[in-house]
Amino acid sequence: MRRLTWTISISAVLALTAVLAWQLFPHDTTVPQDSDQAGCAARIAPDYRGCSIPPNMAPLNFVIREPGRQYRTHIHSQNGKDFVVAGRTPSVVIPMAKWKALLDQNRGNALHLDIYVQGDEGRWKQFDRIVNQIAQDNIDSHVAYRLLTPVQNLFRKMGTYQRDLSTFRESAILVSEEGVSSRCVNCHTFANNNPDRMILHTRGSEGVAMLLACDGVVTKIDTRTESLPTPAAYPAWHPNGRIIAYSTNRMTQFFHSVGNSRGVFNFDSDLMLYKVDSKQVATAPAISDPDRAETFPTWSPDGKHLYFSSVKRSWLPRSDDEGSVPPHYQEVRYDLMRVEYDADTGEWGEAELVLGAEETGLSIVEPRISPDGRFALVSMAEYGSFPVFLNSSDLYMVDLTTREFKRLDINSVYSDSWHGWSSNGRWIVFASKRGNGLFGRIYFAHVDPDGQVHKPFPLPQKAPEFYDSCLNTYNAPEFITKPVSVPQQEFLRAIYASEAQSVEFCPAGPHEPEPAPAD
Amino acid sequence: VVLGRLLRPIMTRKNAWGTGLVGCLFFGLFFLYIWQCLDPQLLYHADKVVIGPDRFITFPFVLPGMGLFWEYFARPGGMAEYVAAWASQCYFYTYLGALILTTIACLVFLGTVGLTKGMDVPRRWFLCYVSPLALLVAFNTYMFRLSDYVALVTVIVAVNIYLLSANHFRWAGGCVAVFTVLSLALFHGAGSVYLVFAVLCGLFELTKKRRQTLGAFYLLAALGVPILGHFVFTVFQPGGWLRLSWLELVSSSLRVPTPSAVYLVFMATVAVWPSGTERANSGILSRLPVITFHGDTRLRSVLAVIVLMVVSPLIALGTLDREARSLLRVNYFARMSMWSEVLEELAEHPPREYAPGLLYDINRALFETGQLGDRMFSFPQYPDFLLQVGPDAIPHRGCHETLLELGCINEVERTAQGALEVTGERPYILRELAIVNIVKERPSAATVFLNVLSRDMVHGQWARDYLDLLAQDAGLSNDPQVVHLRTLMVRDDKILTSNEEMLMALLMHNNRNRMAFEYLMAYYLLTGQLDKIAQNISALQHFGYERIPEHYAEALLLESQMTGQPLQLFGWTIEAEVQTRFGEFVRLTSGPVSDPDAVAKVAAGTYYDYFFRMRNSQ
Repeated sequence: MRRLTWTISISAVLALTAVLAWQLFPHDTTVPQDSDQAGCAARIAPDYRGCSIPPNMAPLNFVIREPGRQYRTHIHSQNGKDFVVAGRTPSVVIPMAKWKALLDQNRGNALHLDIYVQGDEGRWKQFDRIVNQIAQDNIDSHVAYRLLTPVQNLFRKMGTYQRDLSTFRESAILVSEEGVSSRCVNCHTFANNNPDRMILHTRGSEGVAMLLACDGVVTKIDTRTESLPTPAAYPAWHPNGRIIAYSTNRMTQFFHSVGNSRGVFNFDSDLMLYKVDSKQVATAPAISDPDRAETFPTWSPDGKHLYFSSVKRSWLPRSDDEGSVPPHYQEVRYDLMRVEYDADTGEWGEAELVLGAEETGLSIVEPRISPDGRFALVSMAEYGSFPVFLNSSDLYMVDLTTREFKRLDINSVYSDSWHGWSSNGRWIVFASKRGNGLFGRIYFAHVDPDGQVHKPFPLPQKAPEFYDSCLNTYNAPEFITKPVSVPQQEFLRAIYASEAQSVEFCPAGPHEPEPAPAD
Repeated sequence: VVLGRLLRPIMTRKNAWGTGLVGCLFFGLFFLYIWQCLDPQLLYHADKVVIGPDRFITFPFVLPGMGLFWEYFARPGGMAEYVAAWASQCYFYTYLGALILTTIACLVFLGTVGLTKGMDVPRRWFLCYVSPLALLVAFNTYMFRLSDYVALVTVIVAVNIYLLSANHFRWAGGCVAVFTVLSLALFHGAGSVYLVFAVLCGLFELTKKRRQTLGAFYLLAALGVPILGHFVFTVFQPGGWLRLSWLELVSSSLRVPTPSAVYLVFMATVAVWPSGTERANSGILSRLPVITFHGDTRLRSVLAVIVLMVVSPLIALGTLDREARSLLRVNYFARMSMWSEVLEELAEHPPREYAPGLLYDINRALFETGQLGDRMFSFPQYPDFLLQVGPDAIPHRGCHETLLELGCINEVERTAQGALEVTGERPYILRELAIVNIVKERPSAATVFLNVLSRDMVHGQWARDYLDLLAQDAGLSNDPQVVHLRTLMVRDDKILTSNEEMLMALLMHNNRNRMAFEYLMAYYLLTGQLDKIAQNISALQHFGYERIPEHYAEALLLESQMTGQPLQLFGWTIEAEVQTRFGEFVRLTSGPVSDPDAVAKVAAGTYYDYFFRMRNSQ
């Protein structure tokens, strides 16, 4: 019996050692010398082909969707040391250090990927070279986004996260289920891409609140007043970091019988300003016209204009959350408007039309102005104000000088929306459902100085097959120049604070200039 | 005590073969009972099934992946849950499920044998059979959490290891070292159940080894380690400080699952029980008669075995929750689309209460067996539980499946996605969503669900087969289910706000959708819209009816009686029996009701009984 036990034990140890040796022993990492030409490009997923990639981006790991028993990928460029990723599986996990060194030494050069696959008969097949362009311009170090299941009724498994773009490190900013109750977490917004000044909205059993994080201190603010009972929705920081424009929307969710299941209708909305230092809210007729619904505010980089989407209301207002979606909801299209604003005096100009829905035939929403103030990147869809649920939603670039608009070539047949600019204006980020029509994924695209947008690529993941079985959807990506340093505990502490800080409604009109911040 | 005295001879080393044979026989029968009577596969299909007031099954589904592993690994007791969740997947194959439950019982038995031996409880082998029988009683409720039993087994093994080492080491430091290592591993793996381990070790040291300091230290550890462990675990959570009330901390730290708590009491009693020959030779034990046969103890052995084999089945069958079993069988038949069996089981074992999930299945079974229009009011009915759609819909599996069969693809998608949010990644939800996305011609989205499902132990092959099929034909245009659903699903985009609109839209798209018609008529019946029943009688011929279903006829008679209008039958006739019964009902209720029992007898299971009760409750 004892002999048998020993025999089994030793055999098991030997077998385990053999398996480990097989897996860990360095693969042959040379380029196959004798190979046949496949005559086509290898199918890879995600589709990292013909893209312009930032020199500070994490490795673009991918899967080769070609049958074979061994795989080698030769990654090289003009300068620096090339390398081969070899393996018996089609997953190509690129070594971080080699990748970074190669990209750093080849800004502006092409990055080549030569894929070799060994067939069952033992012959190597070389596929056509995959070429990506390494851009000169860095991308912001982090991106913040929402990660949630496609349907959220109980605010479970939802959160705002941030991801270091030069690595695969993801961390939670605020997760819905942390604490002793669940909540909706939404509308994270940063002043000038800097997370030192940011806001988040929460909605749940702890109440509705705007969480304002300024230099590490989180304050819970209830922007509602007796005369303005609707909570804040889409926010935008003024470039001076002391004013937040936001919309107050009365929206309802409805359901389609075919196609994308869910829809959202905005019954009414106005724009408001929250003044961080004086804790006042204000509005003006130009941004809260009772005959129009104004939403999606965003500031020009010089802070002199507030851009927004607006539509003339042709339906009855909704009271006490009662009322059905008007039958002509598919004809509701928003215009792109702007209004002049003097942050020093608080004076408003007249609202003016930048681009009309009549001209485009589409609803223009989610405007985001490029850091140089030249372009507005917008979503345009057949109708409505919730493009993420509309397959027709595409990204358009509006030249603010000429007022010309152009549909970007990077669009897909599914929803492309929730876009933003990097701090240097050379990269855009957006959420797209192009992969499958259901789950949103984050994409980045390079914008050259002429406003040309290059082929986008998805947020790289450490596991190349990550997106194949990811049941969460990504949306509302925002570039940030450094990680959010406020720990989640601080947000939770503010959420569970007994009282939210109330605001004072300040009637429209000029005001005394606010003192500049000490720094 | 008597059983112990009787069993004593067969448990001696001399009778090791006999002991083994009895054990094998006992656990063999245990296995057969679990397999054939308890039927673990009923639990596999019973996720979120209600089996009584405040009693519902939550089945632990688990998919391979390091993400999920770390999720479990990161909390005290998570590993026991993880192992149990994996083991639970075997319930799908009922014999494997039975094998797992039997193995757990067997391990508890063997562990108890080890403990009684280590604690010098001489020949109290009968006690060891108490544990598996107690487990059987718990299993019989169908409400047991396998993780509690995995944790219990882990603890028993750990105590055995400690006892072995304590008997081996003379130096107390060695024992403390073993205790410390086991404590860390056990608290992490089994959570609060650690307390059982520490208390048993403490009692062992106090009563058997007479090492008072060590015993006291272990008893202190029994309280201190869980509290400290939970404290450390809680403060490292982002919102942990919110839960840091001392009362909550102490109560959650020391909350030992019932099986372990019962086992602790049992073993503590055994541990402090008088041991040794001197006590066995005194008191009541010594006065019990020793049965011998020609001077040996064989007869007593045989009697002991007989007692065990008689008592065990009595306990097994006497404690089985038959109503729970019946409800789980109904649920199982519904999930397997065995609709006649659903109704047969309900006829044999009518439940005391009908949960909403059961009502969906009953109506579906009635439809599938062609009896919805005839027998639906033989069961409790509520308008809200015919079909549920909309953002506030509570996800019920039977409702999803009915919506899918009706062709309400978007409604299924929405409710299934809602269920995914609420319940997490359940194979049946992933399967449903994969089908929905295939039908909606979103093969890439379907692939995401299938890729996740392909990792499942049970449904993995189904998912992989569909992935292969999708690779060949993204539209799956030859799949009968997909083709069938595409013929049913609506094509015009509308905002549907009620069941009526939804069912009407289905019929507008496909006027051969008999299921939509029957559910629409059921909706009209449930909401008391008699005029709409009358308007739709002419449509019966389109759906191949050979007669007017009883409830429709009852509604027509009621409508005619209440409005005074003549019956419009469009060439159909109402069966004489239905007319007679209605006439009798009218006669009995036309004046003051003198014989309520007679009215109840005539009206039982009829539509007008439901109608008037509904009207009276409004």
